[in-house]
Amino acid sequence: MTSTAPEASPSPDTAARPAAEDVLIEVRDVSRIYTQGQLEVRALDRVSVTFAPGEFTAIAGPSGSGKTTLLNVIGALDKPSAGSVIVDGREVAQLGRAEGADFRLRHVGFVFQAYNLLPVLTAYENAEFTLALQGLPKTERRERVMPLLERVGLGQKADRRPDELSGGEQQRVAVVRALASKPNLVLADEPTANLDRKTGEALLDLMLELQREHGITFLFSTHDPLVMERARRILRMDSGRIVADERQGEA
Amino acid sequence: MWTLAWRNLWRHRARTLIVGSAIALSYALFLILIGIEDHSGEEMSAKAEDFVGGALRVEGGEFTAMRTLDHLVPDGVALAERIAALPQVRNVRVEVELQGLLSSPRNNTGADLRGIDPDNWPTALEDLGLAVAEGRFLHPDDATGIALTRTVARELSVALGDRVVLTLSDPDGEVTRALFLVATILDVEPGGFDRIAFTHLQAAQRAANLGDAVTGIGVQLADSRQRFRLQPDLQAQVDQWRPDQNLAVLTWDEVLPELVAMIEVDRANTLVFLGLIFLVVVFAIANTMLMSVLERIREFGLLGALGLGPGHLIRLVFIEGALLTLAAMAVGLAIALAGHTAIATWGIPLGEGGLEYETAGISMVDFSLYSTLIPLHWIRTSVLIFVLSMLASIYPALRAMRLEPTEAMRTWK
Repeated sequence: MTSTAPEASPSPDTAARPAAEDVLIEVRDVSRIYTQGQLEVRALDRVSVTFAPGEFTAIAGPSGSGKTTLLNVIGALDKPSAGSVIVDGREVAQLGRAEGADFRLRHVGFVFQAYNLLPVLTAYENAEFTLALQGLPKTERRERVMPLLERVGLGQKADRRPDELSGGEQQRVAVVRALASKPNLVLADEPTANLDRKTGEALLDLMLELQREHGITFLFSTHDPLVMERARRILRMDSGRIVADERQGEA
Repeated sequence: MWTLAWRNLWRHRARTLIVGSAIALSYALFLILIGIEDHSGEEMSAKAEDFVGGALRVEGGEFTAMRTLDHLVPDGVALAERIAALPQVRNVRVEVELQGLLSSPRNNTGADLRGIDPDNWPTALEDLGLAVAEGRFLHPDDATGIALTRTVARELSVALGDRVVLTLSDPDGEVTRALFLVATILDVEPGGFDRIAFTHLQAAQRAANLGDAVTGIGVQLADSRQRFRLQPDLQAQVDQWRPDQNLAVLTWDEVLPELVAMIEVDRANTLVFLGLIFLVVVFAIANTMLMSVLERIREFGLLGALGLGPGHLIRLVFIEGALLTLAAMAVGLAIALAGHTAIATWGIPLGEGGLEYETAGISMVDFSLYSTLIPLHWIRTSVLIFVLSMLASIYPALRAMRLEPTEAMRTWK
C-alpha cells in the first residue's frame, strides 16, 4: 500500500487541468441547490474539476459533503442548478430524462452501496441487463458477461438469485454489470459501505485490476480508507466544495 | 423486459393469483353470458323469421305499416319462383295474411288467418309452437278446410267439421265473406300464437278476392345473418322484374321492430351488468399494479439509473399488466369454453313454466337456457376486456414514469 502526500492544491476548485485531449470529464462551476421548505441546501457549490481517462479517483468527505451529488450530476442522474458537465465531449448537465437514461445506458456503469441487483433476476441476468437493454444479441451478451463472471469468481453461481448470494458476491455481480457494457466511466457510490473489510478489500482489488485491464475511468464516492488507499487521486469535499485534490502513487 | 415483467408478477404470488382469478372469472362470466345471450337472440331471430316467413320478406309497398289488402304482391307465386332461383336463397314461402272476424252460429272472434302452401312450409306448425290435436292439417282434399287453435275453437264453440265464416274487407274495400270447414284443432304451447288460423293459400286468396296476389313472400337465406347485405340486392332485382308494382324488400327486423328493440334492451341490460362487474375488476387491477409500483420505488430508481428511460418504465408496467391480463384471460377462456360446451349440450333448466314473454305478437318460451358461440362476439368482448385492463395500468405506469431515479433511491433506502 502506498500513500503519498497530497500535491499542493492551494485552490482545489481551480486545480491544474490536464490538457484538453486528456480530459474525459469536465465539471465547470457546478452548483446544485436543493430547497427544503424555506431552506436552501447547497449540495454543490461552484465545483470545478476535471478527470482524465482511466483515472481511479476517490471522492471523500463526510456525509452531506456533496460526494454523491457530484457523482449524480456527472452521471446525468441529477441536473445541476448552474454550471456545465461535459463527459467525453458531450454536455450532460441539462439532458432530458430519456436522453439522460440513454447516456447512462451507453456510457456509464453504476455500482451503488446496496440494493444493486434486481431481485427477480439471476446473477447472470442482472449482469447482462444493460447489454440486453442496448439490444445486443444473446450470444454476444453471453460472450461478454460469462468471462467477467468467471473473472470475479461467480461463474458457478451465475444462475443464483441475489438472495442466494452474499453481499460481496452481489456487489461483484454489480461490478460485472457496470463493466460488461464497456462504459467510458464507472461511478461507484460507496460500494464497500455494507461489506466487511475483507470482502471490501477483495472487491476493491478486483475493481482496480479490471480498471487496469480495461482502462475505464472509476469515480468512487467513499469515506472508506480502503478505497482511499487504492485510489491514485483523492478529492476531498466538504459543504459542497472540493477542499483538496490529492494525487498519490500506484496503489 | 418480458422476463423481468413476468417474474415481477410472481413476487406476490397470492395477490397475483387473487387478481388473476378475478379477471379470469369475470371474463369467463362475460363470455358465457354473451353465449347465452347470443343463443337467445338467435332463437328469437329464428322464431321471428318463421313468423315473417324468412330473413327477408317481399311485400306490397306499405303492407307492414298499413296491414291492409291494398298493398299486395300481384302474381306472387310466379315472383316467388324467380326469387327461389337466386343464389343464396334457400327457400321461399308465399303467404296470404288476412285479419278478420271468424263467426260461428254461436259466437264470433278476431283471428289472424294465414293462407300458406304446406309444400313450401312443411314445418309451419312446429316452427310456430303448434301441434295437431284433432283432424288433419291442410290436407289437399280439404280445399276449404281451416285449422283453428283450441282457444279460437272454444271461443266459437265449434268442433271438427263445423262451419265458420270469415268476414273481412277485400282490396276494393268491399266487405266479403267466406265459408270454411273446421278441419284441424291445434294445440298451442303456453304463451304461443293462440289467435292464428291456417288455410290453403288458394282458399285465402279466394276468401279475400285477391286473385293471384299474395300479401308477402318470405325469403329464407342460406345464412340469415347476410340479410342486411342482401336486402338491397334483392330490392334492386325485384324492382327490375316488377318495375311498376312498388314492392318492398324488408328484413324481419323491419317487419318486427319491437322484437329487435327488445333483443337490444335485453343485450344492453346484460352488458351493463357485466360492465359493472368488470369495473370492479379494473379497479382491482389498477390497485394491484399501483401497489406493485409503490413497493418497488427503490428498484424503479435503480432501473432509471441503469438506463431505463421513462418510456421503458411505462412499458415495463404495461407489460406486467398485459401479462397478468393475458394469462388470466387464457384461463378465463378455458373456463368459458367449458361452460359454453356444458350449457350448449345440457342447457340450464329454468324449471316448470320457465320464462315466458311475448313481444311483437311473438311469444318466447324458454324452459332452458342454451349457449351459442359466435366467434366475432367473443373476440370483440376479449379485445374490450383486454383494453379495459390495460387502461387500469395507465395510472401506475405514469407513477413509475414520473419517479426521479435519485429521489427514488434516496427516499427508499
